[in-house]
Amino acid sequence: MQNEEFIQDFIDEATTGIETIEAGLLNLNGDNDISDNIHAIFRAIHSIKGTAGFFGLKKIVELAHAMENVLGEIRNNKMAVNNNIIDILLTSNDCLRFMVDNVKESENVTIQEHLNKLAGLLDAKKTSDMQTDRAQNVQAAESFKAAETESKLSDSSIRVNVSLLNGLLNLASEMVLGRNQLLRSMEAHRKNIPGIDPILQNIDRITTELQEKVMQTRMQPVANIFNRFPRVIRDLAKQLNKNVQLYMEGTEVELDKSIIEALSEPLTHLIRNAVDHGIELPAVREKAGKSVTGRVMLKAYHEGGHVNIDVSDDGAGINIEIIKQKAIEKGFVTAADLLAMKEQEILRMLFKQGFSTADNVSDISGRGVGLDVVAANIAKLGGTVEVYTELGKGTIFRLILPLTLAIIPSLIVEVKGHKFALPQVNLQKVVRVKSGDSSKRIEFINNAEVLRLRNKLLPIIHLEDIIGVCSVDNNKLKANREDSSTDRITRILVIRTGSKRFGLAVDRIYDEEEILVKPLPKYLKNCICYSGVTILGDGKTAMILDVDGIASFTRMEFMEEPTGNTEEQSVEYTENNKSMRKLLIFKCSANEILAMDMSMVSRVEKIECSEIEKIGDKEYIKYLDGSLRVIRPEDYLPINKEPLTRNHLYVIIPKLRTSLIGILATEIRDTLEVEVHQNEASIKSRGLSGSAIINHRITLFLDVNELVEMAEKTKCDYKGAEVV
Amino acid sequence: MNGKILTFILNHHIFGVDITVVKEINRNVEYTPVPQANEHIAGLFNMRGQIVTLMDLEKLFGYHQNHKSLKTSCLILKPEAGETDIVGFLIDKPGDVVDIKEEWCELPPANVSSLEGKYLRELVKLDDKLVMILDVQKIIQVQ
Repeated sequence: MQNEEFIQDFIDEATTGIETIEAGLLNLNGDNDISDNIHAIFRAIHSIKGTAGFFGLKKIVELAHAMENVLGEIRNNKMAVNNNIIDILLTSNDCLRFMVDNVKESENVTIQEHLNKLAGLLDAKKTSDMQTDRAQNVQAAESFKAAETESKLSDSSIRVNVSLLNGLLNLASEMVLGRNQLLRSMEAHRKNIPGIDPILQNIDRITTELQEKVMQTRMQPVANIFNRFPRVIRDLAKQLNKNVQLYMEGTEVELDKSIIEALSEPLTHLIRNAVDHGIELPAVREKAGKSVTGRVMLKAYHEGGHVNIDVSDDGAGINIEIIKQKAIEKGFVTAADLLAMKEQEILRMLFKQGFSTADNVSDISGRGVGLDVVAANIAKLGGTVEVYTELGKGTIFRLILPLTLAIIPSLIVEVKGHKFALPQVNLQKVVRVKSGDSSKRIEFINNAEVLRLRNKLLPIIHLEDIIGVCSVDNNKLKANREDSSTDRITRILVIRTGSKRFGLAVDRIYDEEEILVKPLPKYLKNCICYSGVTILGDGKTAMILDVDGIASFTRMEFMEEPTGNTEEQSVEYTENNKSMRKLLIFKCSANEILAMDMSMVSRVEKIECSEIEKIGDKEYIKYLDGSLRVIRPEDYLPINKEPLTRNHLYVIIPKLRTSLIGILATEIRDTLEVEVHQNEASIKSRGLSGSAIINHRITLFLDVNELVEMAEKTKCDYKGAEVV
Repeated sequence: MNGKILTFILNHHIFGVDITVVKEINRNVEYTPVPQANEHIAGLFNMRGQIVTLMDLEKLFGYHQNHKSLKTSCLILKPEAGETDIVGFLIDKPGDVVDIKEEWCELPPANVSSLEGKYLRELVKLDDKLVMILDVQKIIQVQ
């Protein structure tokens, strides 16, 4: 056999050719003008034949020659295309592909069957073919010319080894770092060296452009994978006796090469599912009033920095009731769980391991492995899968993918002098917790630290514990944190991965940076908290955090699917009367003790009595460049009123959605975190939500909203009176 | 073995490695420690865009590190064919390239029982000193 390298070139070229042939053959079906198409096919098969002949691959030459004969007849409009011809050509093409893939064994492949069939086509044609049309020949020759010019255009692309591209990418990013260092060190001398400025700018611009261009070389159109699906659909439809037409949109959308490659398996699976489970048999479709031919749509499009790929069908849709039934059967959920679950959550169970709704296990799909693999593969790429379905109308599977794997936007954070990169995909928001900010305070449940964020409790993980920078025992650590939390700002990254949500506390947060992901060296494979390495702008390396790894490292047990019912959960939390609450305890003129939830308090100000000004029957103070109405709870609540004896007061400014109003208190006694057994029955009034015994005293709970409403009501009444 | 070895000094001992496995020697590397990594992994550094894993042989050999010397020199090994991860050893000081002959070499004596004995290929008796030749393969396979 000849030179290995040349053989490899032949295989690459022939594979492309075979793909062209297949795509072309599938298109011959349509009513559209086939002449361009047939020329492309003919050229491809011809060049395969030629090169194979050069290498002495006789069998390939023989088969290619037979195919060429048939195609030649079609090209010259001497043979009408029909499904039978296309089928035969397709199977021959498959055989050709097999031989090319196994070039060394190609001489041992039996091709006689294909040769016979192809020859049969020609024989059948000869009997019916006696007349040739001159005009047709002329036309064919013309279009052949057109096709040739096109082929010259396609010569402007060349094949490049991927490892070369990867090397180029490495160098380009290194060049960017070099440029950054150069610019930094030249900064001081810019003025001293005449003419250096434009040179630096030039280098700056060119480097940026260079990197962009190199990145582009890795991008490939999704057509590269989409194009194999017409065949898949055709074969499947035939096998299942269904009529299916595939529509493709956005085939020009580009994705990183590595993503394109990894997409092939999940997409094939979804397509198979769509045809097998989605599209109904023609008779069923007719009965349902749909067109007999089912529609499967593959659509790629950009959306918000991601690329979405929709695989949709207009088939039967997914019956949610069946999913529910199966889920219970398989013990994934209980009937009670299901009641609380939203449709999307139920659909998401399709992606669980061992879940298959197909009633019959078929050859094509429905072995109970599948969608979970699809979801896992997509997740590996940093993407997600969504399902939308309507019974009787169809189903959409939506893959949401990052544009490129190699470069990801991420946040650079620091803990104890170590810098880390956190992929932005996982980051929901950043929270700074200062002392005294009651709405999102850090609290401790035994030794577990949680953050109260929008009425939800978020477990907090300290990155420094994870990476084991310090190993103090837990209690000491807790004491430290509780202590220092009074004068320290804690920066918490709110992280979501799948259904898990947690807060990651770090020391410092730097900039966002687009980082180039490099694989983790194998010596670090035991560190599950990292997903890769990157080189930062200063040329140093930083580890990329793997939030899933962190979550499993801490061995936290996350509640599954908290997405939909968190609202209910939080309501439950406050309605449960026996609960830990953080309270502000204060007094108003007399001895009754009042309390309100810290979560309702925006701030507390100390004022002099003389600051209160009376306007009409209302009282105001100056507050933040404006006036603030203040109310005395004793005016509205059934509590005792006593004349003021002090010359300073406190204004509690509650958090209210609508109005700004202050509540006057004579004494702030305490802020407490207590377990409250609230009693709503014994002392009841508007403006009070109940009472409880706290520190052996009866404490009344203010219902701030109601109180403010009462205060504003009097204002309205007053206005109304004026109008009358 | 016959051939050239590159010697280096680590913790006052003289070590040697077969020069054919050495890619280059770097001085003044700034490496980044990796928390949570195995103890003998000193950290990573960026060598012209490639990530190099640096190993701390002192830790691996169980030497007592009473002074926290900040090593900045390292010896980068050639990756084997098909291997993408590059490994380097932190060293105190690079030494010379020495021609050695088979007859000067000896297997580590039985009483070299310390940890490093596991990673030695042989000892070379030069006129004025003993050089411990490392079994690089064994070292980079430590997990």
